[in-house]
Amino acid sequence: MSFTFDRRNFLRFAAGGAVGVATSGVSLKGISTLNAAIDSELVRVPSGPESWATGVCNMCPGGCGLRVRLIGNRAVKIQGNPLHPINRGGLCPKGLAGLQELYHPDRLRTALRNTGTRDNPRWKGLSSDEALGLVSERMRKLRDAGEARSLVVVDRQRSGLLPRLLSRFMTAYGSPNYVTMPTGMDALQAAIYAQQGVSEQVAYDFSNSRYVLSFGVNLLEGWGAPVAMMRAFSRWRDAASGRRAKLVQIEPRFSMTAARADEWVPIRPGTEATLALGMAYVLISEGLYDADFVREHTFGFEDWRDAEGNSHTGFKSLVKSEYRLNDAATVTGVPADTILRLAREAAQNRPVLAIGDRHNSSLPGNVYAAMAVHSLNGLLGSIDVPGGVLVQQQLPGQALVSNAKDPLLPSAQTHVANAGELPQAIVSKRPYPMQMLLLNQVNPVFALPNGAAFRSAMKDVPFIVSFSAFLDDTAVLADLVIPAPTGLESWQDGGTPPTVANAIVSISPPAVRPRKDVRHPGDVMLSVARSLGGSLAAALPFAGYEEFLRNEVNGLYTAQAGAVFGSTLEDSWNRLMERSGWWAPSYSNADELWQQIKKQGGWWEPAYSHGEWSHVLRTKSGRFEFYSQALADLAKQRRRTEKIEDRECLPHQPTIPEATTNFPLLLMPVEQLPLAGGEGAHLPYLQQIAGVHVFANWDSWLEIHPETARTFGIGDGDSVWIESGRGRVQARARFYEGARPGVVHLPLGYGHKSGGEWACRGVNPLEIVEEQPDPVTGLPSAHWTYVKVYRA
Amino acid sequence: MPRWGMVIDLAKCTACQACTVACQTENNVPCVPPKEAARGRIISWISVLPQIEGEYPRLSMRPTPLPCVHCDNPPCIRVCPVQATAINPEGVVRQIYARCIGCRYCTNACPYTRRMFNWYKPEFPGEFTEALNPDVSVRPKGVVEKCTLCHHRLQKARDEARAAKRELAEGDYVPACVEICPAGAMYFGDLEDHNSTVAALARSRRAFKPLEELGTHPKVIYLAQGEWSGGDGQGPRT
Ligand code: SF4
Ligand code: SF4
Ligand code: SF4
Repeated sequence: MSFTFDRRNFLRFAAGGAVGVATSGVSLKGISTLNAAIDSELVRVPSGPESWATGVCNMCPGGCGLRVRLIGNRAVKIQGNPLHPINRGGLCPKGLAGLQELYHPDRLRTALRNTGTRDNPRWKGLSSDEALGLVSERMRKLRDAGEARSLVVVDRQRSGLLPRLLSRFMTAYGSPNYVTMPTGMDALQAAIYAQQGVSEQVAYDFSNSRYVLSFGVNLLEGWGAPVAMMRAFSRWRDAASGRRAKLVQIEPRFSMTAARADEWVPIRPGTEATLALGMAYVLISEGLYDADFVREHTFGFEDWRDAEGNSHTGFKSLVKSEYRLNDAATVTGVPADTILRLAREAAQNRPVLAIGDRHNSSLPGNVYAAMAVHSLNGLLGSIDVPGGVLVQQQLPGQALVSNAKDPLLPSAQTHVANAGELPQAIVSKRPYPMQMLLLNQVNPVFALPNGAAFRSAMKDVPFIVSFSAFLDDTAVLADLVIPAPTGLESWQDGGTPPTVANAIVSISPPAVRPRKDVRHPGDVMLSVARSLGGSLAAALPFAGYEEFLRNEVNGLYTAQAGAVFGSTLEDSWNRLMERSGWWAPSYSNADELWQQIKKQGGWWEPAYSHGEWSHVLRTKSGRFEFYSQALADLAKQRRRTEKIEDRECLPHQPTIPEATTNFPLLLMPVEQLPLAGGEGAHLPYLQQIAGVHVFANWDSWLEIHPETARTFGIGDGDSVWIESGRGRVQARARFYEGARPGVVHLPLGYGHKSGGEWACRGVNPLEIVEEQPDPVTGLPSAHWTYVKVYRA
Repeated sequence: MPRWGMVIDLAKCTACQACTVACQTENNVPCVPPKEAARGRIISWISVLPQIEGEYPRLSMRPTPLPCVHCDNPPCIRVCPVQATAINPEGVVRQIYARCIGCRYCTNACPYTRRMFNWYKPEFPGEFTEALNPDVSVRPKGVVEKCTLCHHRLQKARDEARAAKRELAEGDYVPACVEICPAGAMYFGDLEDHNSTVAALARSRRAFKPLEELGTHPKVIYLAQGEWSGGDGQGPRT
């Protein structure tokens, strides 16, 4: 293959620079006079002694470890911790941009209290200690009035130690309403629960897989544990690892993941389930599936009869009757010979991973489609084998302090599990009204598909506290905002990131002194617990977050497992030892463990034991269920009937809404790595790099295929309206050959309404997406929005 | 005498642009305001060029991280009227800011568009000045700047080796972009040393030099992406 650089492309990339050279009228003389004045304008950089600190990245859930370069007490560079098992010294651009977050001009300097109204706020500064006093007072009142259950905490992360503190707090306080933000993996998790019965996070052994079928998952664009993913990708293509693994990206758009894949399969939007089941058809009819695994460890493959003697459709006859090769080709637009070849290749290159259906780190897919994809893992025997689908290990040492329960708890009812359900629960006031909302570094008004509903529901909550470093779209609607520390200026911890199997705890002390009057949310909750006393103080008897972390590490010590982060060599040694039943720690007591963790960045469990069926297959049948009995129970319970259809329990192609004459184009919001998870728009480093593939920066763009654009009279660079049934937003059209004709894309992460000038550029596509509750989880998803596009 | 060079494996690059940001933070490159960015005035010593070709659905993209390729025969140097840019004996093409008069002849002469002009006094809003690296001077308005191969890191590595009374070893001196790359797609070292990783990779059959036909003799060498070959154990094909 020859490779030539296209100079035109280069110039287009550097357009401004090149044009500037050609047209600038600045004479040589002019510039040199200018140069003479330089000296007075020089930026001088103070020097000082150099030192290094460890850190934990908190820019995404990816769980990377940091090394921070300090000059005096200034942090001047973030690098990767080479000992950290997730990133081994590498970092993504977002982690690097954490430096701009620390020194950001728009950060909150003090706590703020709204003395005006929610619609017309008047902010008054107060010290964080005063703010803390207000929080305690409110919580005490609520509890004294017997309304503890009406406190809701919305937490940012699901893994790590802070969630443990917060949920322990809530249990002791007497509220069941500890909820987290939804993630793009929710539908996938539900499918794993339906088919394997496990509710732990699903994990994928990417680096040992030989053939990866991604049904529209943006693997390289901020999904899961981004750096761990990139390292696996690199390993697939490392000559030293012997053979190159294949990545197949099945997706309508030519995304960065599609571009970097070994094969891109452009597919009709929303038909991923049909393709997966079409491949299953090939595997079954050609006898290419793992017959041993299917026989020994699955349920519902063949037609079967239940205890009452009713007969049920099995996966095999479903696939053979509804997803025949040619039908799948017609529905998906993927040629039959391609489907055939992919299925055969997969069967010949095990272990295989099938992931999907389409979702990114913000927007989930569909549960039935995810089951269709996951069924391929079942067919190909990829469950809990090296290179296959694993189950994330739990942290040892849970509940070391008595989890003192509030006597009220039994009568309190959990009725929300997820922030996406909150608006409905708040507005309906059922089963009881919510009195207080505590938002821990989350921005649901901006980030949820039903953000608008969240905003209006907030009006029904009497008191709202936000822990936030910026006055973002949600914090601006709170009554009290307590400045949260950014990553480098407080104790940080991280748990096992999504998609990773081995249990990990990362901990790091503050690298620099706090810049503002910040309070770590952990410290806030601990001091509230102290001042409220009783069961709360008993459940959380720690002077501060550091002491809490120290105590969790005691728990790790008593668990007698795992190892402190070490070099790759040390790690493989530890793994070997553990597999053969030895545990040879580098520490002899909990204090040594604590010291080593602080220095090296954390602790982890390097070994994973495969094939523990009773652990990874916890369904009713104790098998991998093609036919999900959990879904059967759910449907019976929900509809209060014994009569349910087999279809409700089997993977299938969800129905796809059609375009209308009014709204002829499908809008698919997309994610770019720099703004993954909808976060990062306030950082110039990230704004500069977010849209390189369409030569855009600092602003939203509408990706549109040139042919589609022409049909609607739109030119490259035109300012256009994108209008759905819900509303319209404006962006600049960018011709993109990688957009499928008839489909348009807006990037997620832009269009904040508050939080500083940099964050507020562009538009938020979630403002115009149509919310559709998922049929199984009921969570708001945003899969089908049809729009029209016209010149502004 | 070493000849410093870089190898970038296009099969492994994920186009994440960590290299771009790592370079910016290491080398005190300011972010330009949005209005100027729209005029193409972003300063980025190493950019990831998307390089998209074809039409839907037959498309290809070869994201290519491109720093100054440190030509052994650099066209940029020949055009400079005041000798503000020079190649040192170890092959690093450097810019001498104090001499640069801002004529931008070199910017025009560089076939790789890897030279950038400071149109303004660099701005570091808020407390961004706190994050500046003391090892690298901030360039004033009116001069051209470019990738230095993180030359300050070489000086530091030499000092440290000298203090420890030993030779400079492979891996002592690594530029910021290479160090951060999460995919391990970048390699750096002495091309003259036949045992170095970069020298070995530069000899591989996937290796090629960008715009080689211009006679610039770049010292940044790429490894072609290759293709999946059915997992035949041959590694990536060219
Ligand atoms: S992947 Fe996530 S955790 Fe890792 S460096 Fe990037 S932002 Fe930080
Ligand atoms: S950091 Fe590495 S993987 Fe990322 S764009 Fe640069 S070379 Fe490619
Ligand atoms: S790449 Fe450009 S700037 Fe670098 S040495 Fe070659 S001509 Fe000069």
